[in-house]
Amino acid sequence: MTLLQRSDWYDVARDTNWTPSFVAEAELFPSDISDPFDMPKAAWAEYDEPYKVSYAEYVKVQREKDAGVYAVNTAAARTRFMEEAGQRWHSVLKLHFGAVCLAESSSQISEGRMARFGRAPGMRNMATFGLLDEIRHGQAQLYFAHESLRYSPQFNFAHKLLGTQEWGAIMTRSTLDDVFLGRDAVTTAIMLTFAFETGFTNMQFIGLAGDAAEAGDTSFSNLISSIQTDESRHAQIGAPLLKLMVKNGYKAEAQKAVDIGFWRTYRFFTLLTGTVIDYFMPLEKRTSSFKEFMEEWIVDQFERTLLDMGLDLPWYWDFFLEDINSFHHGMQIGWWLYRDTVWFDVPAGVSPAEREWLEAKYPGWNDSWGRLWDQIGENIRAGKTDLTVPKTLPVVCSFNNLPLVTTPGKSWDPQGQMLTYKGKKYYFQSHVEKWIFEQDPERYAAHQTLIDQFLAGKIQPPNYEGALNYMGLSPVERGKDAENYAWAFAGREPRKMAAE
Amino acid sequence: MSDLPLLVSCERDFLVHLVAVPSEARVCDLIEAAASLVVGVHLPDMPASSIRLRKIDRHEALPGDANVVDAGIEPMDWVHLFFEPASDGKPLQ
Repeated sequence: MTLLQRSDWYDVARDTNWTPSFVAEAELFPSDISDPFDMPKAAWAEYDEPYKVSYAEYVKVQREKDAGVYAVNTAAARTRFMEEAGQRWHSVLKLHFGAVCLAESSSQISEGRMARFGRAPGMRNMATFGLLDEIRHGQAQLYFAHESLRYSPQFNFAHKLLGTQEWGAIMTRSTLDDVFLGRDAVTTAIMLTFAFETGFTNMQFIGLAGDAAEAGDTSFSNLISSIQTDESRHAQIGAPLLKLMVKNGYKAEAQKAVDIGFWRTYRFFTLLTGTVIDYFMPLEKRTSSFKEFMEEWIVDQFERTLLDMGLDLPWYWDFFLEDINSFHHGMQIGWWLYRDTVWFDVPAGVSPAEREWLEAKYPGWNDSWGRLWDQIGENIRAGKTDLTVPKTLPVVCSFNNLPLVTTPGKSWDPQGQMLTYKGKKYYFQSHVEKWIFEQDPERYAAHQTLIDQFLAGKIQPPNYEGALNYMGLSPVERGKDAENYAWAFAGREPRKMAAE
Repeated sequence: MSDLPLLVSCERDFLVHLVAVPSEARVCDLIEAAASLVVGVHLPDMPASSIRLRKIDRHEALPGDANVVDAGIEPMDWVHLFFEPASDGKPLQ
């Protein structure tokens, strides 16, 4: 029997928007979890997913992808790559696995929500495959991380992190909850698939795959390249929806969801990707700076896509373009100073040659961030490594849970960074975080940052050591300087180095 | 007397620290405690006599010998250390 081509039957077969007879339409698709904007059914009928695939095709392709990933991994296991890769690359892997494995896994919930409550059949189809994708991504990355446990117990944080009160875990859970676990199907499609996946996972997965290949980690490079092929398929759920919303008079609602989702996602990836690209990667393996990556992968592409769809650039765009010069430098020095609060060893990434590179990529770096590192390096060389260990917690943003930072020498913006709501003081990284909070204060006001938890007496004893234990970090899991301070002595007379 | 939890930033530094001081402390005690987290740590050593404190949204320095509560500092206020005279002749942050 001759099989029909997919294009001959797909549009008919996927049209599952039947008229319910046992329940009302509104019960089948409750607006608060489906479409809070109540776009007319006729508008939804125009949703046309750009990537069409049948289940049989999907399974065949995914099976081949998985076979390739595990075959390369088996072959790579015969090399001594991990033994010879060095601490910096191990740290990149630990950071990636900790932040990404269970985050990917949890996004099954978001894909499932769109698969069940999306109003368009095409959206439901794509989300169903997206859900299956995320199962694969979670499992494959956990498998790879588990294989690396023999190199360090810190790899255990691939599985452990999101169940702890480690500050990065609180930040990650809060971001995921807001962007895609605690939203209706429409907003999820915008914030997860458009802002998070179309906008940023490209950079994490394609950028990092390139870096991995450069570093010689063919297995990891192959793994995340394979994942990205899925991401770039299911990330297309949001774009046709946004077009529909603009066309049917819901531009303001669409724009607001994009503006919120983009900013929250930007902060997440700045921490995760910005620090890795500009500081963790060995200098000789770097291809571009974080800013250059952002300009190529995010700014140009996102600007073009938004304008093509009839949307505007987010209102904070100029501030954003300025922010990509600075924020991640603050996160990096924060990672390093608070290295015992993370599950990987932190490279400082500021040897003399690296500082030259940073100055070339970010003119003025030496005069601002460099001065802080000057003092830290001086303390290390004087044997005062105790001065590089914090005595108190940093205050974190009430919204994004990341430490409040500014470029040294630049003024803070108290007006844009402070707010009192129902008698409680809230502090924000910038006026953008404050604006998002103000859009829906009840959604965010009760969230407890690590600092809120500390002030509420949950951390005992109420000191820095108590906080480390509260965060679930045993002494062997806590991060150290990845190179035992060698960077502070580079290019200087050999001196006795203090062991950490 | 209970402790006052405060946010403390410092001129030329990059971070905001959580610092708790007893409510009977003087402003100069707070300056000393807060400066010990930054001066000589992230920033070069500076004489203690040159360090002042203000509320982040005010310009005037708080009197060093005043009690922190009497100086108008409340729990979870954000205060800012700065150097006087300006360490490099530039305007205060």
